[in-house]
Amino acid sequence: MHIQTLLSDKEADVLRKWFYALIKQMYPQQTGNFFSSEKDPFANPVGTKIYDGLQGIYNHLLDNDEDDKMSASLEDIIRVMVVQSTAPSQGLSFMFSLKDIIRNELIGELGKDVLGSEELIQLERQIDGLLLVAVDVYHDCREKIYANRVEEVKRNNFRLLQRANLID
Amino acid sequence: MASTPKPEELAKISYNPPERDWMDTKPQFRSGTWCYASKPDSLKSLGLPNPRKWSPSDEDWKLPENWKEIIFEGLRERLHKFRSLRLFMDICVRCGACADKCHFYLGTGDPKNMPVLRAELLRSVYRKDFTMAGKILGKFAGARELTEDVIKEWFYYFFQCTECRRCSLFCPYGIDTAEITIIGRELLNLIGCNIDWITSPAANCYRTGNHLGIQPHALVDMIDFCVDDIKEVTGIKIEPTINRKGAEILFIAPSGDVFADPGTYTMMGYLMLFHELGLDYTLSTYASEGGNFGLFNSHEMMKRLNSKMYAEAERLGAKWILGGECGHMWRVIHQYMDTMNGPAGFMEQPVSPVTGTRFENAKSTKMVHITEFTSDLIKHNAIKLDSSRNDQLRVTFHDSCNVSRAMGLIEEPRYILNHVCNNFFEMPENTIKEETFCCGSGSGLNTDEFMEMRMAGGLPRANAVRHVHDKHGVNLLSCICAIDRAVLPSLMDYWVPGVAVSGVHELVGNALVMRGEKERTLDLRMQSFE
Repeated sequence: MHIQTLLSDKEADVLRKWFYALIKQMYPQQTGNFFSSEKDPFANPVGTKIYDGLQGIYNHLLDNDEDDKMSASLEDIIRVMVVQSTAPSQGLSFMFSLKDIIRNELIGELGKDVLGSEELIQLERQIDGLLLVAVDVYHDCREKIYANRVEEVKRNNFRLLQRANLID
Repeated sequence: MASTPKPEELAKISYNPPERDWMDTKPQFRSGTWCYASKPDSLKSLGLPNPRKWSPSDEDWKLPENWKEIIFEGLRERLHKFRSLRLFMDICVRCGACADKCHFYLGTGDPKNMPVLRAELLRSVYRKDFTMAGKILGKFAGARELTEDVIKEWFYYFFQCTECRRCSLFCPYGIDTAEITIIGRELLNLIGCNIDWITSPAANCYRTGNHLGIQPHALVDMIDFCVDDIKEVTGIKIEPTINRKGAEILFIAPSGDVFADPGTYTMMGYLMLFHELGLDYTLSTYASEGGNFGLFNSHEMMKRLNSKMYAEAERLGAKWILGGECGHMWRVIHQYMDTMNGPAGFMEQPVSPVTGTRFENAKSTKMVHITEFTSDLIKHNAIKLDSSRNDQLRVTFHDSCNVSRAMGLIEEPRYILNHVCNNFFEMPENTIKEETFCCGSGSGLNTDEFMEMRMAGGLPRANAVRHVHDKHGVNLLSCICAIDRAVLPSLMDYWVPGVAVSGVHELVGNALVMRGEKERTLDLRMQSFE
């Protein structure tokens, strides 16, 4: 069976495992329970953003979409990670669990021989490339935080700067 | 309230306690999640204790030698003074209804941002030294020793609460966790553990009258900039009076509207409206700040700063006060002023000089909210509006916590918006009105070094804006609070790029048809109406 098709059929399982791996790694148990069970997106923005983001990434990955489509889905999650995590290594660690989850799913269906398949190697290359895109997105979000700090100081003193002829 | 779990859900509950007790989990002072410490000079000018140079990231916080005694004495005094505090310490049954209602918990996932657990930080100390069960049973009764680590934890989490009171809305006992934060901050103040973006603005307000410490001549210059911009947009030269004795109305806005972008456009809107009405009003360079940073400091400081507004109204001989689009100014007026500095018997019950409406609700405080005033004008057809001038805008409205939850001002701003623009869209019900989500930066936490935590805390609000942005193409988030106007642009830029922020009276200024105006082609931001 075509790996791509199999993974499409397994979407719900893969996403569930990927989502729980992320939640377990990032949050205390009770918080994780809440983030994974509350379905109202306005009562639980973090949980829904993470799930939607993972779903977007997974679908774009299987559809072999362009980087900019991928960036949008990555942004959904990474914007959250940037303000919550202690370091990029923590915030981007969710990307690494996907390979293991996919491998385990495929082994369960097709046996260990699948590990040598060219199609899987190609998919894993794509995931590696995705990680580089994620690093760029993380960097952009950090930059945005610092830019906003500067811009806000300027905005909050707008008339003072105008009075001192330091701004138009 | 939390929904009742179904039997199959109950069966899934794990009864294993977490690996580590919350009391054994110390906060990590990660950059972006705590605010800088108060400057010694600001503490000195307010007469507050333990002025010194220190940082929350230091190991040694340079507490006074008898700090423990000071905290216990302070807590004892407040338990005696505030019956509500004693109740709040004792009656919580830890049902968890508040737990998932706090924007900081929703945005960070940190359990100590659950209002119930934030309050436990103080309750655990109270139990240990003020209850028999806690004295005897200690940790088994949820009690713990007061240590320097507890002080650090208090500092970290009491300055991660914006006192927005959303949690209190869901508490079946009516516990107001914001009041617990207020007391927690008061206790920290007693040993000099406070943040600069609260103390310095309070010191500036106390000394000069506004939070940046802008002196009278500079303040006048900035109002002149507004006057020049209004002339460029409308062709009309308006002449606001300042510190004029005998004016009927003293107008007090948050000072951010005088010098911060985009508040300045709201200021222009106020001035244009007053000019068009021919209102007998004055601004003041002494009562030049509506915001009360004292509220974030202590009850005593709130009273001190609030009294300046009334002293100035009395000095000028104003009949009543009209207040601008401010958040916490209105909470202080509505919830505290009357028993703190009032009633203001030297003034008169406010009556609109245009429509004759008597503002019954302001009978005691003598202070009317600008959106009550303007909505009354619109209701009486007292002003001419061309709402099509705001047609390029697709607008939503953020209920500021203090005016919605602490004051119940819900419909007036919406009434105005529905008359000054043609494209108004509400965010989902559980994110607006009484259930509004905080901007994530209120109660003195609107400082840039706290940006990561602000973005996390503001996520629930931004998420609802994102929804109307995607669904209806909303490109403007209007609000009636100067802190909102200062902080929401950063929040939008991070989570929902393409959405600008404005005050309601900026949109009034755009739509207002003034007698003698030139053909209007520019909005108050000098951008074409097209």
